[in-house]
Amino acid sequence: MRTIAYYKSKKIVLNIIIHLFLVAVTITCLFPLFWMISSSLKTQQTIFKDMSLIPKELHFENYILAWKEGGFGRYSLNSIFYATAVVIGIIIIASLAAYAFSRFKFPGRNFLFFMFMAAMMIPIPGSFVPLYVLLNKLHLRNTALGYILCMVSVGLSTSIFLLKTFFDKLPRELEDAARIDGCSKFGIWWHVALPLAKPVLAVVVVFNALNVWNEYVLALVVFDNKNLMPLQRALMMFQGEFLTDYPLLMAGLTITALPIIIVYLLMQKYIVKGVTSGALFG
Amino acid sequence: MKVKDTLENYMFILPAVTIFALFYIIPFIWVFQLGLYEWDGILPTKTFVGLGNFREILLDKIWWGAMFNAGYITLIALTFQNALAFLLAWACDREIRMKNFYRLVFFLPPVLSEVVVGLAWQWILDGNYGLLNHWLTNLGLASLARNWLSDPATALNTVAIVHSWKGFGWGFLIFLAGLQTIPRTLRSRTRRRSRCLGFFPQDHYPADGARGGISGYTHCPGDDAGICFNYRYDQRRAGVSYAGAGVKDFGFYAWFIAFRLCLCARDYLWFNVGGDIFYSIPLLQQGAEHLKKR
Amino acid sequence: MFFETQEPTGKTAIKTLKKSFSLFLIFIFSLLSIPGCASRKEAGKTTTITVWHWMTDRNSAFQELAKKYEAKSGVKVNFELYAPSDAYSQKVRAAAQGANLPDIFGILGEKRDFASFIKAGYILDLTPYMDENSSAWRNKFFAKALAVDEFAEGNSYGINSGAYGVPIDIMTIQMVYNKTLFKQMGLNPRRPPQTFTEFLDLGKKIKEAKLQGLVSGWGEPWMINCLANNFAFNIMGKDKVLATIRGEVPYTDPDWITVLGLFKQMQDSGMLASGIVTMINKTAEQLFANQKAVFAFNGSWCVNVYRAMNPGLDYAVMLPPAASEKFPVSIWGGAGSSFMVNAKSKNKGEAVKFLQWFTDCDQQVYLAQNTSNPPANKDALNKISPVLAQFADDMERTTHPNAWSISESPRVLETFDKGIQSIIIGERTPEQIASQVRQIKEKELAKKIK
Repeated sequence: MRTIAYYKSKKIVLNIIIHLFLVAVTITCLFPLFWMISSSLKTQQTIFKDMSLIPKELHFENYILAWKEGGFGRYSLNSIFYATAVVIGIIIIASLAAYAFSRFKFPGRNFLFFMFMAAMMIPIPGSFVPLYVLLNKLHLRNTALGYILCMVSVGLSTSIFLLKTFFDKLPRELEDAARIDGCSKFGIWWHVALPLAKPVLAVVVVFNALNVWNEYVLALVVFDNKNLMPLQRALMMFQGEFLTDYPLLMAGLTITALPIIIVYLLMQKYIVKGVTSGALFG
Repeated sequence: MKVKDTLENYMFILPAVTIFALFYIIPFIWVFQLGLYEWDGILPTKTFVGLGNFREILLDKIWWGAMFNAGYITLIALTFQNALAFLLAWACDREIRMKNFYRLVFFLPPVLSEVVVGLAWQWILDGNYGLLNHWLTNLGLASLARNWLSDPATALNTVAIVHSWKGFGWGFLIFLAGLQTIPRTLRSRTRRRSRCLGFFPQDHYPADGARGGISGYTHCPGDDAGICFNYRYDQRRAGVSYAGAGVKDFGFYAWFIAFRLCLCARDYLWFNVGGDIFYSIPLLQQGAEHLKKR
Repeated sequence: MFFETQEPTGKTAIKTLKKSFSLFLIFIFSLLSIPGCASRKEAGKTTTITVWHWMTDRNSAFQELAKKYEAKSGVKVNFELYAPSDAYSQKVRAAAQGANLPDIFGILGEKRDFASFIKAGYILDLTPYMDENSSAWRNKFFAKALAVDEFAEGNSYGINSGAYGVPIDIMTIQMVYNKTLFKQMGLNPRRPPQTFTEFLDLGKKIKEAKLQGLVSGWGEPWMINCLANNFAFNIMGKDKVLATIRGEVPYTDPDWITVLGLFKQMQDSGMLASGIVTMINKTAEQLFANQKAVFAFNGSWCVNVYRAMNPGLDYAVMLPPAASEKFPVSIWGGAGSSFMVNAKSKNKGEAVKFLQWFTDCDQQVYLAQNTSNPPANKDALNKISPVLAQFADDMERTTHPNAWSISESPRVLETFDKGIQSIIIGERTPEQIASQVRQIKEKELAKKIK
């Protein structure tokens, strides 16, 4: 007969092990972030000599220098604009298509869906030059619209897949009720399907925002005009052919990482909350 | 009436299909066509070689070596990465304290730029002055210190682990979301049947085309750029830089397509093997409803 | 809860969707037309020359010079930076496809690519400009630097002989050694090792002192190739090396095996730094700058890097040690970076004039002083720092694959370079690699005949 003490100590030991495990992984995750921040506060000379995480002198001016030299103001506005436009575009376009694939029957439905899945598996190798040539032909080269459309197409397949699988398992009762009440297909999509899909949409938002935020080469190839360049370009200014200005680069990277972390913080609540909210139980 | 209905349906998918056709199909056909030619990317003329490029690839030992390495990393990612993500999600689900903190922290690796990840891990794993070896020596385990990235015995595994580290955040997020939706009552009663849940394609190979195909590269783009340092090992051992280091022919796109197929097969497997977390969420909701009604 | 308002019927729903989508598009268009309007206003009456480059650390120096030129001649020069160099290459290639190349740009890569650009009609032949005024412009340059941008008579690329680009700085790749560490080990800092045997002997001493010997970015195959080629020229002479490329001499020739064996000897003597075969050059530079390595095999660009990382570093330049007395020691060198003029540009004449001014003595000195790269203009030599001068001194000994009339096939080079990597880590022997390379070479030759 096992005593209460046995169960209690077993629970405590288990808790300790779990905590240790979590803490260990946390350290590995946080370390690069701390290293990035501490490096941004050092100078070019001390960055590889000084091994400590907390530098002896804190050079906060690196951030101001990085902002100015990198031209962060303009580029971050551009990046925010592109990320927002692409995310909105994908949410609308992908959810429309996903809903159609999930709910409607029309000729070519399976074939088209399969094409999208294939695209997800097989990205175009070395896609930059063909996309450049295409944009050139469409007279969209060196324009924001051209870039946005390219990025939308890149994120489309995955987003459609996620949304479709979600819609597939969504119970039809609500939609049937809406249809009986006279809602059109678009109405159902807008008023019923989309609000329910909030958690998936949150994931789609984070995924695509991250993609656009970190993207660089396509922007470089497509844009000639410096004023249209995204944030990553500012970071490249610190990476010379032979010499990298590490402290400024790290400062720049820290500045760049912040907005995405904020987006994630905002979205993660939806991912969990949205699902457990009273949509179906209420 | 039926025609109007069908037209309405097509309206839904029209924007997606238009963009897809323009920005994926057309470039893809163009690139695939190039696989049938020998071209350096600049000259106005190309030479048609038919399937010669494909044959050359399939007979190439270095290419098969690259495939093997890619497959190995895939396997590790599929098993180790997912297991880690699930364990962490499960652990976090139990712990009420600091749950939000962990949720934030574990998603940091995917968010961090590859530049940072690469530099930081290089610094940790460096054979001569790296932190890992430094700590091992301090703990008295100097015999375990290795040249992690250069030693053929450890390099591939090291790369696979760092790759998993970068990616587990997505899985964690999704597993956690799924686990949280299971009402407490349901958990104690039902054995969790949502096993081996799907995974998110977190396949951000830096500058995809840049790394692989287009001519003019003599090394992985951006010396400092992150994950490329991982593939430095691959480069040496399995010639992933094959297309990069001086092989200018666009014909080798064929090779690169095959390579990517292999990697993307992994993503596909992730979606098929085991249900999606998003399958299970509504299912579990339905289950909960049933329980309530009883 | 979800459908308080009555939805309109299908047709109007489609209309509303179309409306919102087009509104979205209009919104986007209007936003991007704003910068468009602004830039259109700028395109006024002054001639503007656009230059695309990848040299991040020289960008501010370039901008300064551009301002000077505008003040002097009224022509506006726009230096556009696209970094890093790989992305720059992509951009240039893409722009070539779309015929959107700027007035002046550079081509990174091998001579073969350069030749392709010329054949495709994108590069202006600068020979007439070089020859005017009894070759005034041509004579300003180090002959070896200009050779990189020239095509000789009867070259294997099928290009008409002439000069198609101008060098804006020179570069040599040699060895550097840390004078402080030399003194520490009891060696004479003014007398670096001259012969290969002396070099190997130092390996032991370095191991005892618990330092790293030679660091270099040998994770990047071309750097290995550079040193191997230097040894090859030293052991068998330029003619035999070129004959091997032509296919007249096999790679299993004893001289080649000797070359490959040198790397094994270096590894066995403990001279090579640990992990050198996966080292990128930046790491090698860090190690040398932080005084963790005694020798480095690096190019003259390192002066700028070391100065930024450790201004107090006390080091000097030396030639790679001679492995043989038969032929002189040779090093790679030539143009560091070059600019070409777009043959299809509307401002060709102005572009050439600008480049002539840009490579003039004063501007070259300015660049050398501000960016620590040795100048391409001979006359500027006496005004630069001593270490830079040491790098530039040996220009006469230099050679460069881009200056040869023939180039080795990339697959052979790759097998060769990776082969040396495996020799160093002890996976293969020199003989095995030599026969491997020979096999690949024979395959490539057979292809060419077809």
